[in-house]
Amino acid sequence: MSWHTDVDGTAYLVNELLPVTEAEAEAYYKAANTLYDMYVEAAQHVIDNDLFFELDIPFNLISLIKRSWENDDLHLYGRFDFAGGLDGLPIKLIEFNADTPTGLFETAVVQWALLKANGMDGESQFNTVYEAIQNNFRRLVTGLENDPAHFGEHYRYQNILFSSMANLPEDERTVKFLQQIASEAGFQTDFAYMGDVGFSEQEGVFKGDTRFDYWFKLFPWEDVALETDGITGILDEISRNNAGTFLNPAYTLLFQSKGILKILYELFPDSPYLLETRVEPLQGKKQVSKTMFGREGANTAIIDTMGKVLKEIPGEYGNYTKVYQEFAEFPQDGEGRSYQAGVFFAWEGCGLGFRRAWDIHDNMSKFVSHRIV
Amino acid sequence: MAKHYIKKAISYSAVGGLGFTIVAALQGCGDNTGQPPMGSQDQRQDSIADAAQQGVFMVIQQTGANPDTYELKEKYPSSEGTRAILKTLDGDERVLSEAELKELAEAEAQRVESGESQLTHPVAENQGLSLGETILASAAGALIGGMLANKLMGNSNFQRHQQQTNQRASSSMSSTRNPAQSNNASNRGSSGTRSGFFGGNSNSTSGRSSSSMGS
Repeated sequence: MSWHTDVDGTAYLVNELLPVTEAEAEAYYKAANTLYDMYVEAAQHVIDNDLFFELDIPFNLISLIKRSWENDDLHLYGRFDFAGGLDGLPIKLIEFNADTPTGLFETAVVQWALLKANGMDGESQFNTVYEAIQNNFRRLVTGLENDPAHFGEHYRYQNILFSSMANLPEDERTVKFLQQIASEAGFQTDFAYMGDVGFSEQEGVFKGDTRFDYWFKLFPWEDVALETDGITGILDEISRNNAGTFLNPAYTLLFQSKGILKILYELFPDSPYLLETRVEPLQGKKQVSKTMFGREGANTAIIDTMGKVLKEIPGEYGNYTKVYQEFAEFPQDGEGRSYQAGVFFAWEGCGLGFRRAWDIHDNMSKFVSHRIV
Repeated sequence: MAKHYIKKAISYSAVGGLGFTIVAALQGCGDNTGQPPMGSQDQRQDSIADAAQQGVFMVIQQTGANPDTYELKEKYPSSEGTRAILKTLDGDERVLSEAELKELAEAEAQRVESGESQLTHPVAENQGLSLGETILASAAGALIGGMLANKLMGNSNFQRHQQQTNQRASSSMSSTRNPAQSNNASNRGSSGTRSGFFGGNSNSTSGRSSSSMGS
C-alpha cells in the first residue's frame, strides 16, 4: 500500500475528522446530482454541434466517444471537485474527474475506518461509495432501468477484467478495490496489468485464453489516444463489433476535458454552481488558468486581477489548450490551509472527502476525512 | 428526515470485508498525537502480525432460527482485543464486545466440560452451531486461556469443528473467483489476440512521470 505516504515522506492521510453539518452534506449531494445532469446536457451539446475540437478531444477517439454515448454505456464513477460548501461559502464547481478519479479508497474505506478506529460507531459520514459503485456494476447486466437488486435474474456469467499500469501501486490498489466491489456484486472478475492484456478486433479483450465482456482500465483516454501502436483503432473495432465494453466509457473524456467548463458556463450562465470560464483570460478578475487535460494540479496557475501570476505549478500538459476559470474561495483553517471537497458520483452523489493544501490542490495535497455533526 | 447517502459508521455492510483490515492498520489513530496513522508497509505488516497474537475481529452471521444457528463469515487479526459483529437473520448488526464474547465462550467451555456441547461430538451433516459454539470454535485461543483451551485443542472432534468453521470463513473471504475455471461460455482461444500494448513489452507508452494515472 502506498497511498498513505507521499513521496516527500509526509503522511497523505491526516488523522483529523473535519466536522460537516448535515445541511452542508445535503448541499454537496444536491450539487453533484444537479451538475451531473448539466454535464450530460453539455456533452450532448458537444456531440450535436461537433465541438470536439474545442475540448481538445483527440480525433482518433471521436467514434469511440460517440458510440459509447449512443450505447448508453454505464459511467461507473467519477469525482466532482468543489470549492466552498463549508463556513457559508457557496459550492462552486472546480472540475469533474470523470475518467480516472483518484481518492476512491480513501473516501470509501479509510475515512470510514478512521471513525471505527476511534470508536465512533455512532458517528455518520456522507459515504455510500461502496454500495453505490456495487449497484452500478450490477446495472451493467440489469440495465439502467431495472432495480440492480435483481442482478441474479439477469446475470449470465458476464465477466470483468480490471487493469492498471504495472509500476503504479496506488493505481493498482484502487483497481483491486474496484475488482473486490465487482466480485461482491456477483461478477466473475480478474486482474491483469495493462501490458499483459490481449486484444482482438473480432473477439474482444483477453487475459490469456479467457475473454472478458468488460474491461476496466485506470488509464486516461487521452493517453490511450497518444499511443502510437494502433491500440486506439483496435479498441474502436472491438467496440464497433460489440465484442467488449470499456469502463469508464470513452465519453467520460468529454466530462474530463476542462473545455467542458466553458461549454457549461455558456449553457447555464445563471447556475449558482458555475464559475465564469473562458478560453481567453478573464478581464479584471482573479482567476486560475488550467490546461484541458491537466491532472492533479499540473500546469495550473493562479493569476491576479492585473494579470500577474501569483503561483504556478509546472507540468507536462503544456501542449493542451488553456481555459481560464474565475477564482473561487476555499474554506480555510486557522493555519491558512484550504480544503477542497471531492464528491464521488456513481448514479448519484455517494461520498464526500476533502483534500487539504496551501493553495493549488496538487498530488501533494492531503486527504482529510469528515464526520457529520 | 434520514438521508440515505449518510451512513452511520457502525454499518459493516457499507464497505464489505476490506474495512476491517484497515481498522487493524489504523491502530493508534485514537491517540490524537498527530502522528501518521500508518507507517511504512513493513510497519503496517508488523502491526497486523502483532495484532494476531492479541485478538481477532470476527463477523458472525446467523444462519437459522429455532434452533438458532450461526456461521463464522470473516475473521481478521485485531489490535484491539477480540470483538465480533453479529449479523442476525433480520439484517441487524450488533457488536459483541470482548467481555460478551468471553462470557459466551466460557459458558460454552462449561458445556464442553459437561459433555453438552456439540463441539466435542463428531461433525454431523449440515449441522449448525449455536452462537457459543461458533465463537468457541472460531477463537478459543483468544478467548479462553490455559488448560481448557489446550484440552479443547487436543480433542479431535473439536479440531474438526474448528477446521470447518474457519474453512467456511476463509472461503467467503476469497471473493475473487477465477473466470478461467468457471463455466463462462464465452471462453475462446486467444489465437487472434495481440498484447504488449501500454508498455507491455517496450517503452512505447506515453510515459507520464506522475505517480498515478488518476486525476
